[in-house]
Amino acid sequence: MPNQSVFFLRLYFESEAVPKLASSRLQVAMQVTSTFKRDFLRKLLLGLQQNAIPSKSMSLIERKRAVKVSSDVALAASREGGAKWSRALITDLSKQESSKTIVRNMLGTKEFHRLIITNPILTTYKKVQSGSMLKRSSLMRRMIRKRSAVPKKSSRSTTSTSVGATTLAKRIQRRRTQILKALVPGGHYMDDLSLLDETVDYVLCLKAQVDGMRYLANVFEQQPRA
Amino acid sequence: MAHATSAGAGSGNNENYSKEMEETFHFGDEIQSLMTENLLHQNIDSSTEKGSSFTALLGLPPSQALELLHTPESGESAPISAAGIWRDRQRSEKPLTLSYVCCPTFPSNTALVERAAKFSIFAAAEESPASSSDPSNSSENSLKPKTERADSDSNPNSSPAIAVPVPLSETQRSGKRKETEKSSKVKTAAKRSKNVDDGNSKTGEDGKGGEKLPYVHVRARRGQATDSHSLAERARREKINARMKLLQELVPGCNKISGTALVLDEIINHVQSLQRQVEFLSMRLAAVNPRIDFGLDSFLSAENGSLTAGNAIGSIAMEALPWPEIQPGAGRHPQSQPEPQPLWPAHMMQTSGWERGDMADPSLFGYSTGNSAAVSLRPNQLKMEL
Repeated sequence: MPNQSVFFLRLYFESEAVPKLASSRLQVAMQVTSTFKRDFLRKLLLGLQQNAIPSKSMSLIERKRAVKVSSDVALAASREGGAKWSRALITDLSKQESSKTIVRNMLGTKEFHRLIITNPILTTYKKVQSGSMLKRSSLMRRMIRKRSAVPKKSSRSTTSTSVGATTLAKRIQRRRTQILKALVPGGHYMDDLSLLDETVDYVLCLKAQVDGMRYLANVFEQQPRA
Repeated sequence: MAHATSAGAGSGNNENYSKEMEETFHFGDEIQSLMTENLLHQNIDSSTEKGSSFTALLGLPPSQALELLHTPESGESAPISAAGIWRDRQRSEKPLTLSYVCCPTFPSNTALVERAAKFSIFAAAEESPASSSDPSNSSENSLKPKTERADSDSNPNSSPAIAVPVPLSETQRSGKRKETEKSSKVKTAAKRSKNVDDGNSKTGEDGKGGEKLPYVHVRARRGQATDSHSLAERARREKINARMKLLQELVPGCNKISGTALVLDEIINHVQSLQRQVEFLSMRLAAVNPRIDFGLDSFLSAENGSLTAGNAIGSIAMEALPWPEIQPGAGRHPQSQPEPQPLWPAHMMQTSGWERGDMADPSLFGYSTGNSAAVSLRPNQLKMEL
């Protein structure tokens, strides 16, 4: 039975070694390598261990949430220090009451407080509300403008289609960027350049997370058979 | 005097000239040669023409260049480094007197001729109004500025098509129209004065032109605005493009897509799918969770006392070893197999314990994972002690 886990472990780490060799241009990003994965795995295991023991009384959905949160925290904690998204992820999770205890348990009280205090994202918490308000108001304005523009549309349609090729492309791009900002944790506070940077980092770490969790799931599911 | 006025008119007509040249670029060779002949008649000493013909002359061996200089076929005054001219003029007045004469052909004094060709002073001083007798040569000359212009649009560092052996100033290498215009104006002004004493002041002017050079140079490269905002914007855009390329390499199936919006679409899809996979896997893990509890409980009992000690031993042992970069876990595992390992988490934790020696190596990893690992371990131990 240890043989199996060894085999999986080897697979898990070898699969990471291949892209590292293939694209040396991603060297900076590829610091997310096997050590990162090991770190993440250990933290995930510890988090599961902490949060899975009381989980016997939990429902499946609750347990799933706990696993998800602990894996996210493990990921962010393994990537600690370098990236903005990891801190944003931790602060996002620590803002929610349900996941707050998990984060606190996994990180430790001291680390938790350090992160919360030094994190610039939490200090701009008020900005979030005003930002959402602004967004809503701009949405309303846009809707009003659209409604008012509807009767004129017949006259303007030809000019708008002919003129707005580049503006249309820009608008599409901006919309995609907004979606991406919603996906990457803390993306709303970044400009385009750092957003792309963080996206590169985040995608790599997500891949590592998926690999590690899949590995764990495989091991767990094959364990009773052996 | 007539030269001076014609030179001024030529530099003034430069824009029209270049436009017409671009139009003629699409025609056949014969039409082109005809057109350029006409154009040469019209403004014979336009600055680009000078530059190209001069570079053409420099590309040739000196004897042939001299022959070409003897034949008064085209306006071969060149935007050479004017400071060099004036230095030479101050040093010896003889070539200067020659340039006063403005004779189309050289005198018989070969030593003077050679020296003049060396400093290319005749190219500057002599502007023969005679029409070009050789159509092939003129068409060749007329072709060159166009190629230079095309190159300067695509490649910012492009030198003129001809490899110039003589040490050239930056003005010529950039092939910048404005700079050549300026130098030609300076030269015509010098001709107008026709005095050696005026040469000193003219060198001052030339020095100013040289100081202005970098500004013009930047502008010549891109054909875009040069204020700091647009430069910064351009740099930012290039950075963004580099990141996009990186992401394109990262996201599978994204290499062949062009267009920022589509690439962003793919990235969004990829991130979403990964996040969904995480959700799914956490569900899977939650489904097998009771068994984890069992495993972790036994793991706790097995690892309780020896966690820190094992870490220390492992780290010491691993620091001593030369550490392979790829898959360090695979080599170690067969050794640890014969030891009694009741459950896999204990096994894994042991590997992760000695991997910390790996992590302590600063050359391999940019960030220190050891600290955060220790922090995350601490509450666990506290809990276990309780």
